Amino acid sequence: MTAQQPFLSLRNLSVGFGPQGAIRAVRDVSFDLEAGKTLCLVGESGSGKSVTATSIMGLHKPGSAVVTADRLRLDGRDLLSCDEAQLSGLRGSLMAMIFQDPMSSLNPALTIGFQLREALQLHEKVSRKAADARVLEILQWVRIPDAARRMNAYPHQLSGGMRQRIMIAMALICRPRLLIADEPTTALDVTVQAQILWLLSELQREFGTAIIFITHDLGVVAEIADDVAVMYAGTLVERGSVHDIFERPSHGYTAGLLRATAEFVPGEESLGRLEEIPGNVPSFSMLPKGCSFVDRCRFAAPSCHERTPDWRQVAEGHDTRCDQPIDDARAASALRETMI
Amino acid sequence: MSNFVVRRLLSVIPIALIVLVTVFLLLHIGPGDPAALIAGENATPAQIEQIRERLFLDRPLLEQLFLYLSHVVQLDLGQSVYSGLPVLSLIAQRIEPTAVLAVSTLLLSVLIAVPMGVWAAWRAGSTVDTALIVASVLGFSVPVFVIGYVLVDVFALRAGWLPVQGYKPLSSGLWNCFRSIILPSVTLSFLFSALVARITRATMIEVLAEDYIRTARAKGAGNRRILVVHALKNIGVPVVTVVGTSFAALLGGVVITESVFNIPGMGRLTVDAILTRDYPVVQGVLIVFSFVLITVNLLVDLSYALFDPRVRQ
Repeated sequence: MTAQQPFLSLRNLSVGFGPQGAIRAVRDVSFDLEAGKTLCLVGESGSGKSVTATSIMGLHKPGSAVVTADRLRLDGRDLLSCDEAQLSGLRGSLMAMIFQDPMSSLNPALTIGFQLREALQLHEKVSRKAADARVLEILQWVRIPDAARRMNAYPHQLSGGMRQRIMIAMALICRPRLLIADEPTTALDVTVQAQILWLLSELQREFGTAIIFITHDLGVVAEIADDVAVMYAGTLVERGSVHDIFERPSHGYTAGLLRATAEFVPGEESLGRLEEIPGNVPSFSMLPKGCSFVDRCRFAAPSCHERTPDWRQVAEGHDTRCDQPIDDARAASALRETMI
Repeated sequence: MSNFVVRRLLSVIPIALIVLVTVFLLLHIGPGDPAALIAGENATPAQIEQIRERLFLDRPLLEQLFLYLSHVVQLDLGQSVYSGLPVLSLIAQRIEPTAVLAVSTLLLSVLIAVPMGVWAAWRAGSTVDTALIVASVLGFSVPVFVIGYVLVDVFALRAGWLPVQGYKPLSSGLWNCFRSIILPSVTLSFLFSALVARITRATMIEVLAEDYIRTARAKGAGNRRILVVHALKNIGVPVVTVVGTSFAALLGGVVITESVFNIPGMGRLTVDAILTRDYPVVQGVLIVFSFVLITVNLLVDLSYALFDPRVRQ
């Protein structure tokens, strides 16, 4: 960690649901994010990615979740000690979020123009006319064709890709310094997906926004991430630069994820059969003793069943929560086994 | 005016025709000779014959139907067999108390039930919520006349604040009319607001779980703003629907309430007409009630366009 405080800093964030937060959907998640950087939060469905992001925004339904952390700081503010009114003031202005399903994330009863104007006017005192001008500007920025007319449109009159661009425009209209994008392209066509990713990188270049990008698509990660944090069964298992994670995965789960991803190599006839990770994600109530990935890990040693691994550093800025981190020699021999 | 509105307006015509034909046939569906039924047990054959001629019951059925429809279209609903007065003027005399009672009950119920339902939904699972559910089950299940007599006992007989029974027309002054209608409409509101509150609560809970509510919170909208701006418009369609469809039940309740509070309205007219086998009056009352319901349902459907932009196309 540098002497200066990182823009976003999480230490041991845990989230529990149910009575007394007994179902611990997220356990001890820690990471930092610098301004202007993109962190990809990667993992299978149900691994706790969205819950983690929702906790940063303080967006859990009141009373539904118990969020604890040793530290949850954004831009020098302690988010955990903020009350709901203070959080409301930060949401949309300092930090904003884009959601997975653009079809259901816009209010069907209100016009696009109203919803965008509201996002602006909740945080800035601007006249209706000035607000409309800003709305028009941001709509053009996210490449909405015929933007002036679309302001009077209702969500159902727009396509999915266009709605997601509206969502992005709404999240960006107050120029937030942290943007959380929760699988923003999962529900969209591949061509639209590329446009959205391009928009986000444009935004980052222009405003220096920090982005947390939640996805299970490693192709997207390779394209946009600076850093990657891998989640499994509610906890972080590995974090590092995108280069480290892709080139030298040191946790069995990260390695498995990478091997389960199709890679198109020009000139090669077929991709062959993708490798899967055997078994399923354990449910939160039935986590195995020791490392939660132990039952599915091809590198598991007897000791992995005994104790929950601590973080250990593999290289500068590359940590893994594994007692038997994969080194190159072991990875090579494992890969040979697969070939046979 | 959009297509939707035009289509919905036109659909009133066939519905109205079906209602009129059904009301006309009522007289002929029952067993026996309608003229004899109307004349009663002690009537002489001459009297029966007279009724038969007066009500055109001696003509072929189709001709009768045609005659009936052409009279109704000219707002001629026939004469009461019992008093000989025109049915329309009988109804005109009785419609004010019923209209005042129905409208005040409707307003009272909606004003109480919608905020209660929204509050309970916002605090779903809390004591407030549980209390509302219990209260609405009671409102449903305690008969109107029980609530009526209890209220009369407490507020009229013991406290003496309000009249025990009777109705003061609007012409006697708004305040007098209001005082006479408080107890009846509160009585009737129990049932109606129980229904509306439960639907409001259920829909609101559903809407509050929607993704777009999360979006509203994500952009920094406060609780009140979320409820009023983002959620309320989206519960409009289901709530207005239940208000409209249960308006029929409300009219049923009006009949009982008018008896309990001795209000000379349409309900009493209906009951008296049925008891005296005054068929023209029964038919006239049925037509009026049916057309009120048709209009209410029309307004409900048209209001959808107000709440939901997807309907407008």
